[in-house]
Amino acid sequence: MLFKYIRLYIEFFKQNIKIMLEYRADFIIGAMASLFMQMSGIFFVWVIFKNVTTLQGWTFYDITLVYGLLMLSKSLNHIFFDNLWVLGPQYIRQGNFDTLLLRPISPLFHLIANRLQQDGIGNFLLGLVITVKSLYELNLNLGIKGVALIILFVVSGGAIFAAINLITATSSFWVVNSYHLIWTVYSVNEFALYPLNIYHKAIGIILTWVIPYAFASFYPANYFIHKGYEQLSFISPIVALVLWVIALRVWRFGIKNYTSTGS
Amino acid sequence: MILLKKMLAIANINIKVILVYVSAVWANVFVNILQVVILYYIWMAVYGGQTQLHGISKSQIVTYVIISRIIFINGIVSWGINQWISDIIKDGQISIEMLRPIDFQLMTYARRIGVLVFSMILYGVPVIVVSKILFGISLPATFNSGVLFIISFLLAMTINFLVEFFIGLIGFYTTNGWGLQVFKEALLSFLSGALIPIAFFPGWIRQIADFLPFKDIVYTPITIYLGNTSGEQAIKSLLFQFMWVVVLLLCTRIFYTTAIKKVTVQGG
Amino acid sequence: MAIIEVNDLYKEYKINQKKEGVLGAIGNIFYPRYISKVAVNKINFSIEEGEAVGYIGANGAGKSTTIKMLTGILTPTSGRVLVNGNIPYKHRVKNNSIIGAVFGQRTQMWWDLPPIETYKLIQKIYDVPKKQFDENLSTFTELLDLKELIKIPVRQLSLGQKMRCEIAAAFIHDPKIVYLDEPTIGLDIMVKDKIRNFIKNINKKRSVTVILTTHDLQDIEEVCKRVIIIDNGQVVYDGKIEEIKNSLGKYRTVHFQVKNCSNNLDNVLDTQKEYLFEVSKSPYDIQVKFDRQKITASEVMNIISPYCDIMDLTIQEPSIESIVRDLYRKQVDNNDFIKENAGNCKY
Repeated sequence: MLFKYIRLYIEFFKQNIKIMLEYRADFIIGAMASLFMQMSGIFFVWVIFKNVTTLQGWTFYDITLVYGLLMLSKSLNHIFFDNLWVLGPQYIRQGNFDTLLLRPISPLFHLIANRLQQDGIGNFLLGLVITVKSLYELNLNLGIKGVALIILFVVSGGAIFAAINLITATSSFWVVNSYHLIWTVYSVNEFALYPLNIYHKAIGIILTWVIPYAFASFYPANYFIHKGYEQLSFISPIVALVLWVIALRVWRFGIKNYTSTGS
Repeated sequence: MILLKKMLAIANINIKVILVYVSAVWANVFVNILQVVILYYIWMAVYGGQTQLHGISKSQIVTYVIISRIIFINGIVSWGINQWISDIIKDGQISIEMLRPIDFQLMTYARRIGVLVFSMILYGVPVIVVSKILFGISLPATFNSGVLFIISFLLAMTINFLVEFFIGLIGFYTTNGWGLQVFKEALLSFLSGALIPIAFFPGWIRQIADFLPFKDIVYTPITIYLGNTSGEQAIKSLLFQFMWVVVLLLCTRIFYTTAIKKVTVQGG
Repeated sequence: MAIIEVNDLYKEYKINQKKEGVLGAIGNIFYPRYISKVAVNKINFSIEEGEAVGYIGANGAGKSTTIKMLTGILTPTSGRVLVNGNIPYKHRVKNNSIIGAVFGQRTQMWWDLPPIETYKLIQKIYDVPKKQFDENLSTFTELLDLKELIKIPVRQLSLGQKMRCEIAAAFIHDPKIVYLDEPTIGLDIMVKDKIRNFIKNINKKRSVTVILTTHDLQDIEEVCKRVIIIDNGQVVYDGKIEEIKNSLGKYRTVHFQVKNCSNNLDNVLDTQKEYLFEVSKSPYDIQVKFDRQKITASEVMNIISPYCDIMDLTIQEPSIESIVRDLYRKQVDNNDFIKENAGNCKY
């Protein structure tokens, strides 16, 4: 069963690559534009550190590590789960969701596999450069275990982003215009670009226990740079798992509503 | 008076468009407050125990963050104006626009002012109110600062419009309007001082930013508001802003004429 | 054992009064306001394997609601649907693997890629053996004339070309049942013909069960032997197509644009009462309904032409709506249909 889905995903993936090659120019411009946007964010941090040496005990490269990890998680979600954003307008509103329900595979899988978002690739590469550069400048000797952990953290982070988007996107089954709800919740991730301890405690609690984007950047970074939050570092994969269990329940509830109202 | 009526009639189109998206208003206000909150905490961390950095005090920086956000969301975001300009030239509708008894650039300006007023009411005011409750926002340093700020702000919005017009004309020559807009937003949010006051920039970048007109969109009006630029200095700043309006107006006119010629000669 | 079994199928919609905005959205989740509407009212029918059935009715009659319940997209409020022994909405994967569908204007193909890529993906999704897939593809390519089309990105295809490819996509995995919802809408005669012949051919040769909903009576006449008519959520007719064709589909309305009519025309029309009815007349146009089994269109023209200059004429086929309306009237009055109509002549 799982094997079949992996095989199918590869097939969908191939088709998406073909589309990407069809629109090569768009790919380059899209990647460049989002890359430029992210670079202005890093530039902001750079200028700040021309004026101070540490920010509440965090050095420039401490912060860019947090920043880079979040970018990596975020871009994984952007590349692989982008279709969730358009569930409402492109699938439910236009009736195309019915087509997904007519295939002998999971409609959620079908929805997600249907699109690969090229715009996220530039961000992923930039995030990779920033993360590697930060780790190098911080003189961290990762070893194989460290690299494996980073991959685990980034994948968990991506899964956290995707699960949160899945929960808010499921509102498309009830709400006419779900985009703004998805966007509002999603935008909270911007807090997680910087260390949580610069904010009011309440913000830290929200980012940890309510909309837990901090598990995509701040807590994993703490595993490598010890600033006193290490105890939560390893929870990231568990948080991702729990969020997906919740998200899938919400999704099933949404589907049930859809098939009983047909709207 | 007639001109004003015309302006309102043109602007009216946009009110309806904006009002359709009520949920967009909610989301927009939330996201902008969120940005203010993040920047607030970053600045608090930057200042730490210090009360003043680069001539800007800890309480002034809060006001700076809020006002710069307001100018950013109402001005630099541009609400699709430059895309609109590119499209109208590209699809040949410009020839119809040229038949109207009002200059195309002036009409676009009226449209832009209309958008500004309504985005100010729908997005600006809520952000100001919530920010005021959360962090407090100081009044203009003196009465004179307030008056000069209003003049400076209007000049800033005019410069912003002329930059948008310029970008719109560039868009006529390229196909990817979205990429252009993202590029412009990223560049301007930096060089205008919308993210960080220009005073914080290190040496050479500061020189570049000081030389370009973009600082007059955000940095100049806010320093006048805060009273950091006052008296003769403030008047000089206003004159510089005015000079940029004239220079940019000339540039856009020349550019516009060239682009139009291309359309009318080639027939779109 | 029938392949599709429908018993007392009932669907009542609860229409949520949606509110706009973020607050409205939250309100919707906690305090939804509903209005009920019965879409399908306890219908029964069964369809044997290999049948081709036309399922027709006016807009809003409950047609697409039924199809959605048969395919498992909708869950019934009460009653039962069994498709090949499965309950569609419960055994979704099992049911979906034996069905194919074309839903009106919606495409199941990848917009930016040529149809062949969609077919290949379908092959993988349904685990169609390579040999069988290749055979189907070459057969369909020939029957629907797709050779050139399947290599062009879907977005560049015309409506008719797209629909031909779409039809192939619905059959390529050898489904046992295919649901076709308005497969010929907006297409020209040539394409319609090609599609009808294809469906007929596959239905006959492979005994694929076909359920066809359409507004085009010609589709039904050519493809189906049996027709089910639904109105107001209830089955008003279930039987052979010939029967309904004879009693209802035999009427045509001809519309003349005329000039210089002589006064005798009225009298003449009166004498032809047996063949011509529901005549409406003004100085410049005449509308006549006739029974095409008793009189031909050219004979109708011959009756009128001596008395008027005919400038132009159009012939109208009866619409599904009018057939359903007539059927309904027939049921209520339980009268002989033609008599009743003949009595309606007004002039």
